[in-house]
Amino acid sequence: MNALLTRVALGALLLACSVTALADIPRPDGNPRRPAPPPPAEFSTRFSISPDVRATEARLVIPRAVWQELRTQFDGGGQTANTAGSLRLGNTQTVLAGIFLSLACACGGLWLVRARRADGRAARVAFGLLLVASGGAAAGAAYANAGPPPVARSLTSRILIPEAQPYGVWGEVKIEIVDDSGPVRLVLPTGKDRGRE
Amino acid sequence: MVTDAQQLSAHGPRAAGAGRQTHSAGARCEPRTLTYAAAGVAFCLLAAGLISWQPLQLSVATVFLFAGPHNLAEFRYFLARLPARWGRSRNFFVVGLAGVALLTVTYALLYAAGQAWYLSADAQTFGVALWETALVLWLCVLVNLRGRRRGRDRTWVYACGFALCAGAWVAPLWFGVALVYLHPLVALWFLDRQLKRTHPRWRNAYQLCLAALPVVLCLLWARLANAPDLPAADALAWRITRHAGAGLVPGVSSHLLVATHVFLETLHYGVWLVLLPAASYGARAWRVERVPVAVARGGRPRLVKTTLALGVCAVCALWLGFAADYATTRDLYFTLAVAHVLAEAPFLIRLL
Repeated sequence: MNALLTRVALGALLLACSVTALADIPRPDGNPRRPAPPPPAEFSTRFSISPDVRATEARLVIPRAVWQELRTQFDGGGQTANTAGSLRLGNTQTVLAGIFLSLACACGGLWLVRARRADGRAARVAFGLLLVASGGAAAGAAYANAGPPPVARSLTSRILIPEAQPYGVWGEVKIEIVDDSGPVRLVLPTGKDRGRE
Repeated sequence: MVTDAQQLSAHGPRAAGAGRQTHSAGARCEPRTLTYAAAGVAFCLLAAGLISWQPLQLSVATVFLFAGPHNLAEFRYFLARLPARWGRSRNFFVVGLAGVALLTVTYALLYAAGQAWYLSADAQTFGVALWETALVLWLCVLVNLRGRRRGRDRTWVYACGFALCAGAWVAPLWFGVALVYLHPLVALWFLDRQLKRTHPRWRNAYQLCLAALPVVLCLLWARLANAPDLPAADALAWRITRHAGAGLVPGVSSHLLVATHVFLETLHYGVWLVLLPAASYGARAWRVERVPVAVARGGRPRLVKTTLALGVCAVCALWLGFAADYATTRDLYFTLAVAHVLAEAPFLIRLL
């Protein structure tokens, strides 16, 4: 009985010590007092500069979707909202779209093979025309999306030249939220261009 | 006793024959046909003009007035088209009606989960794409079943269906907006099939109106191409513009989108509330003596009458809801009304 009591007491003492010991383990950043600072709140979005002869003042127009994403980002702990209307595909979406497209091709092929044996010449011709039209439309869409010259594809100080104005300019911009009370600024990198100027 | 469905099928060959006669005489283009067509086009132009002037207000007014009654009219029409005994079409109707129920419930759950913030934006997008995939595959199965019933190979529909599924996964929100704009046009297809069966003489005038529809739409778009966006001053205006696809279609004025949607919806309501009843059951909307489910041996006329009476009560409840809280009732209506959108599919496929 005494031996059992002794073991229980030793076990309790060990547990109590372990709590104290664990509580003294330093934080990974090595500073036990100061909590780790949250990662800087930032996210990337698209940005464009469009010359407009009718405009009377410069405007930074932020679409509501981007604003909602900003709110979500800074109020909701960093979860990125899916921008409505954007065609940014997640991995799952891309994979499933690919699978369904493959299934469509496979089913279409099987149907064509089966239809060769039976009647259905008109349907086969219609299917072939549909295929050609779809391919043509896709190719048209792809070519129609051809971008402007390289000078207008990134936001650098080179955009501030008259040659870029017919196209307008777009590129990626990083939005930073700072505590300064200054104006909204668009900072353009100039390092790469100094040598050329 | 002759039911509506029997009457329609009995009219079929005669109607087809009459249709041939009409088409052969179509070259002469009877003055009455031109008069009816001109009246139809004038109505479309007038509606498009009014709607392009005040799209938000007319969206509110048309949904308030006609949303409920047109659902009741659709229900009455489908009731007349539903055979008392499904026979060899049993699989078709089981798949069709079960699909309507399942897809409606999942759509409502998806909407509720999205409203309650249970789903993240990504999960919501995933759910929408999944629902759209189920919808497309369900339609494919229905088309294939109908083809087998008629001894035709319609397996090509799976190729088209899978391609549409791929589109649904690439752009699920665009797919939803496409449904919003395509659904009103389905009513025009119903009317064409109905006229072919029962009133082939009206069909020439109707097809002239159909041919004029793209012109009216182009006039509407030309007028509103440079219109500024509608002011989303309150939650209701914001919902109406979002429902029409504003924010999703870049570079297109929300004024144009809402006007187009309201115009198509107005045509949809007009077809279901005026033209289809006139072409099918006429003034016998409340007489169930010609409804197959009611008059067949073992049929249930009381159940049919009770269901129609409940439908009237639902329409009145919808009006009261709109009067009390239009925005919330509108949201609820468009969520639950997906049932009537889905129910159109099996009946239209069966008519083809």
